[in-house]
Amino acid sequence: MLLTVTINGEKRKFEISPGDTLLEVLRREGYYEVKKGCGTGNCGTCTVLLDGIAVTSCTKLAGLVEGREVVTIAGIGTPDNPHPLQEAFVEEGAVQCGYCIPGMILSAKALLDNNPNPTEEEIKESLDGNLCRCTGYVNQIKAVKLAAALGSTNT
Amino acid sequence: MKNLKEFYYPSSLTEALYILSENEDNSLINVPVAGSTSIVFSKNPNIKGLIDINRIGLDYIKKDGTTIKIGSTMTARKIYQSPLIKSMAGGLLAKAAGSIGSTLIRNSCTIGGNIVDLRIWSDFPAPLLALDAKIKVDSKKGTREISVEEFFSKRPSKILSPSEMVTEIIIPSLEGKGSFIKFARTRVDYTLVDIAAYLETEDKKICLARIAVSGITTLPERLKSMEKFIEGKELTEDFLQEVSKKAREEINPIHTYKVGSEYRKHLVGVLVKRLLEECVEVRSET
Repeated sequence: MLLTVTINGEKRKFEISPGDTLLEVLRREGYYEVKKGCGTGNCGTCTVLLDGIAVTSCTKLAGLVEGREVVTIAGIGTPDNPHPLQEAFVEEGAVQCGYCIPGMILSAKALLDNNPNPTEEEIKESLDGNLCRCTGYVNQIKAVKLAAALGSTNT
Repeated sequence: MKNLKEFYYPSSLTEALYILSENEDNSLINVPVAGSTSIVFSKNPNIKGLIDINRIGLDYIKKDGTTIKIGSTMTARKIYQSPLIKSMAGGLLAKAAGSIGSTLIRNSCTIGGNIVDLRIWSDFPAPLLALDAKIKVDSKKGTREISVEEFFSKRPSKILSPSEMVTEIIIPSLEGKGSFIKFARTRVDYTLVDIAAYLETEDKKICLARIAVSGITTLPERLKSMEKFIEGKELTEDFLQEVSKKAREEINPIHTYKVGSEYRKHLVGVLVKRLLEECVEVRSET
């Protein structure tokens, strides 16, 4: 079946099977920045934004995103022009192995786009689906606070 | 889903019900999908088509007279954050919605999906039983409302015909206070015990009690003997100890590799006490 979906602002059309997950389709079509972790919706590594809402792409049927908007980590900033969240994560030393980072930043972006001045509890809750085995989360929470302070909404 | 061939995008409930009506007397069926967090793992060879029901206006929360109506594709996240749901009966349904998995899962998981694709760890059934809600079910032939007690008395496949779908959850007007406790190994892990209560009091005595538990037996259930035990009484510290003891004796949790039945009996005894303390003020006796 033909799937029409906007990815990082670009309208795309793909031939897919109805049982394909969004993660499978994204990686097959070259969006390698979206990573597979557990494949069961438990680790958050594969997080993307679907119409601005953070979801695990491994547990989302690709067919459901017909006509909708998907944003991956590559869509929010570039090395020359990073998103404030990306800058804040670097600034606060929140990246160790890097596996959890794309998902974590997208969850944080979904939070800040709706709630520009979150409390620490709200930050923790928004990140509760993104597991990190390296950092202990401290610097990542600091990074989200820094990005909020820098005024990172809807960019 | 090896026989899955089609994806349907109905633009109205009527259209969706028409597609579902084709399931009658067919071994290969079309199935509604909302969040898809469960169905992605399905190995059911009888599914030939999926019906995207996210675009037919079933994601709403509204007050209708004195009742509150929740569309079946409303996500757990939106229910958790809804001011109307938070202010209803002590916020127990909002608390339950917020306990489901993680933010990422709550953004996809729908209330309809959670009760139709019923699992032992589903978190919506217990609060809905405590609220004595109704489930609205539609098919091409018409509409019916089922009490949650009846809905959860059997597996969903024995309650719903293949051409029916859940469209709405109806919560009656409530004046009392309820609460909800989920017990799991971590904040985002699968439920080991869910317990929900709704109480109404008059002159400090309980005049109406509904207590529901899930996760410990195959189907969620009301603890009717516990309800009778506390009705007409005032909750005091001493009485709550008796309530705990009775809960431990009454329930029969199934034994699993994760958690033994003895442990869960003890656990429910403790949680019942905490839950009731969250609903009403408890008099301490010295």
